[in-house]
Amino acid sequence: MSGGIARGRLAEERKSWRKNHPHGFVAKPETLPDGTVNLMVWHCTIPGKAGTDWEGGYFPLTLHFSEDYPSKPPKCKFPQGFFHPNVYPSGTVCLSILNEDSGWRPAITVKQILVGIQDLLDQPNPADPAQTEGYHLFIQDAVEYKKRVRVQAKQYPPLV
Amino acid sequence: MGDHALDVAESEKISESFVCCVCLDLLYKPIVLSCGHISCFWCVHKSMDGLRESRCPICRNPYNHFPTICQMFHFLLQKMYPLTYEQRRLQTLEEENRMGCFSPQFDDNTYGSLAKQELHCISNSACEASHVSSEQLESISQVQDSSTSTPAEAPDKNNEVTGTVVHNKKVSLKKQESGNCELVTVSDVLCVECKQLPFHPVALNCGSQQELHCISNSACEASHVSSEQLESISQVQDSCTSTPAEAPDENNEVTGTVVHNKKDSLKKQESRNCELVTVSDVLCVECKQLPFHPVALNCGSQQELHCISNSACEASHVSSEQLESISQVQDNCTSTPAEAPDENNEVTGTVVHNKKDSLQKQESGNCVLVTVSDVLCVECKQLLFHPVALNCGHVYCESCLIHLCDENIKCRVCESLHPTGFPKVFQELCQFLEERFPIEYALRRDAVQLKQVNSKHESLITCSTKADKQAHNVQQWSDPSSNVHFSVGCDSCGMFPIIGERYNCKDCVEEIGFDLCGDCYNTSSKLPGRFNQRHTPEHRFELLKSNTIRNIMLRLVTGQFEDGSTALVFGNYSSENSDESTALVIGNHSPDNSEDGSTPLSLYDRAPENVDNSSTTALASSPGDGQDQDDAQSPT
Repeated sequence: MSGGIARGRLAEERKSWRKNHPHGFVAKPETLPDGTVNLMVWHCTIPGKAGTDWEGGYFPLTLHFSEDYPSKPPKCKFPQGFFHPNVYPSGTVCLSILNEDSGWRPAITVKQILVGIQDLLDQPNPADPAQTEGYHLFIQDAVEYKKRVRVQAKQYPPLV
Repeated sequence: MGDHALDVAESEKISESFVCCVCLDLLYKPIVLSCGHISCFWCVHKSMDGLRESRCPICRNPYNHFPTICQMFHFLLQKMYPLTYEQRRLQTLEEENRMGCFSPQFDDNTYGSLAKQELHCISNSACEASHVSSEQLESISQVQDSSTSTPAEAPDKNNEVTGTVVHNKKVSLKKQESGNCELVTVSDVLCVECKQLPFHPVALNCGSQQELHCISNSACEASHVSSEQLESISQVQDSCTSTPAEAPDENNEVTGTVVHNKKDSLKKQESRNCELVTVSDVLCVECKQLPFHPVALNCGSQQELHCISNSACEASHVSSEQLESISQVQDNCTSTPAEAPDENNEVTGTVVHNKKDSLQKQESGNCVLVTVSDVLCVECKQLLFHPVALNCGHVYCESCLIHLCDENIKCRVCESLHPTGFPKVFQELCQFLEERFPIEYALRRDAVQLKQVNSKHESLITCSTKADKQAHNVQQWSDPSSNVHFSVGCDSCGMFPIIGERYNCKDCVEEIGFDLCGDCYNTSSKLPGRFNQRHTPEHRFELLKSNTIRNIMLRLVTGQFEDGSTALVFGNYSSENSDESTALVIGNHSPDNSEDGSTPLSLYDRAPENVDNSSTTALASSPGDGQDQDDAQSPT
């Protein structure tokens, strides 16, 4: 019984996003070269929270949905090598609500995912590290860590 | 699902609380979980876990019994959002056809305020509903023709001729699609006055609003009439007009204006065959059922027809042609005002229609159509107060259920045991009821509170049963020797996957099969399959063993062992809850490997850089392989 829900749900997600979404965020399904829309991959932008070292950065995030969505969470990827203690070197975000076995619920919407990741940026979880560099700096050298974060924020200026 | 369908759905504004959180669409065939959260039938089923206990899509509350659709809520939604609900039905049906697996089908036509409890048995077993077949319609039309010419004889004749044959009805979608008026049941064409099959149905006009009333005397029987009959009837009406003095007598037994819903059946009329007209052609736009008290409104230049219903919510459209013919009757009545009162005594018992804000109803999601009779507790038959739904889909007041249960919670209607402790209040419905029926709800609250003061002990049960049951469930799951049949569910109690004995039906042909757990097999449940299987009590069962090796493998894969060792092997991905040190070690060493699915062998996540330095052929290989290589060669 392969689920036919995924696309329907994503279409609804798209609709509700268009109706209303948090300021500064972008989320769009991928458009293929032939002009068709691929609902299974979304290109998003997460703004760094104001008042944090992440401010001013607009971080690109790609959501990969499987056919089992929303039973299974989407895979959320920043660009490869993204600097953050809870982001794998491949760019995949490690977050409890994105983990099928711990925090994921089908009721979680794209909006909640993106806001959740925005919160994670400035509040890394040292209990669940995903890369050594970010983790070690975060634990051992707060000054250097902050510097790296600000440099990275500058690398991702607003697209407009 | 074309644009048109979407437009139609857009016109109904759906309350946030009736949107399924899984598909983000209007709830369709809603299921209420024991935590009080709702989702669609398929959304719940698809988000269930075939290997272990499932979790609520909203609050992650664990459960392992697939609940039955809550029919009361199903019909409530159908009434409130007929267009969207119909659209959802079609969508789902399309999907089900593709899957070859169907959700339970309900017989919409049998729905009435009182029919709720019987629905279950109707769809299920030996209940027989009667139908008016097309042949009968023809014979009746002959009678009517003849009665037009010899009105005095009509009653005798009809007694002999029109005895309606009772047909056995099977609930089947194919029938509905293939156009067959066998689907029409007597309950769809009841006289508003005597609540029996109408005999010589008559439509009256009460005043300027152009409301149509169906009248009949006490002994009546009758039928639907085809377009031919409409013509013949208009002759009767003409004759009535010419002999106004006789109209009362005639009306009593003869004259009948039959109301057809012609909205979509104009094409079909050409074939002059009422067999072609299906129930779906004559659905009320409001309740999506066969029209009962048909009313047509004219709202302005668009000639839009509005369908209104009385408290029993049944209604219909009337075509413009009919309006014309009916207006003749109206003229007739108007011309003999003196006799009207007498007539009314015997004939015209006028039905009171609720017409106020009919226009708003159409626009604003129809919740005005919902009456208290749609949302009654199956136990106390009063408005639900703090509704709770059992696994079987029946809805009780919380206070009524507390009264009922001692050790186990057993449904009073279907006798099935509720497996997961005392259910939580079904908040969405609760809020809706409070908004929709503020006065009635407040009264019920007072009544319930008064009752609770009088008997104190009852509310104690809730917590303890819940705790016991859940502890019990957890034990079952962690016991490695328990016999788990992965991805197989019990079609009676809904346990999924089945733990313990599994009986598989050898005679059910559906791909999904029909299975019972040990308990349900022994209690010989009469419930139908959860996926509309054509299972009958005569079918034979066989006891199936679960495959132990597969069992063990699956346990390994899903990390079912109690000690943390497997979690280590299978990576950090699953273990936010496991102790910090393990997660840390794994996280440091091979974060990317485990997520890519390869085994976490390498020790350094700097590996890619090292690979670049070393001039090995591993350059072209995948990152995981590269890291293995690096592990062996790394200068550090």
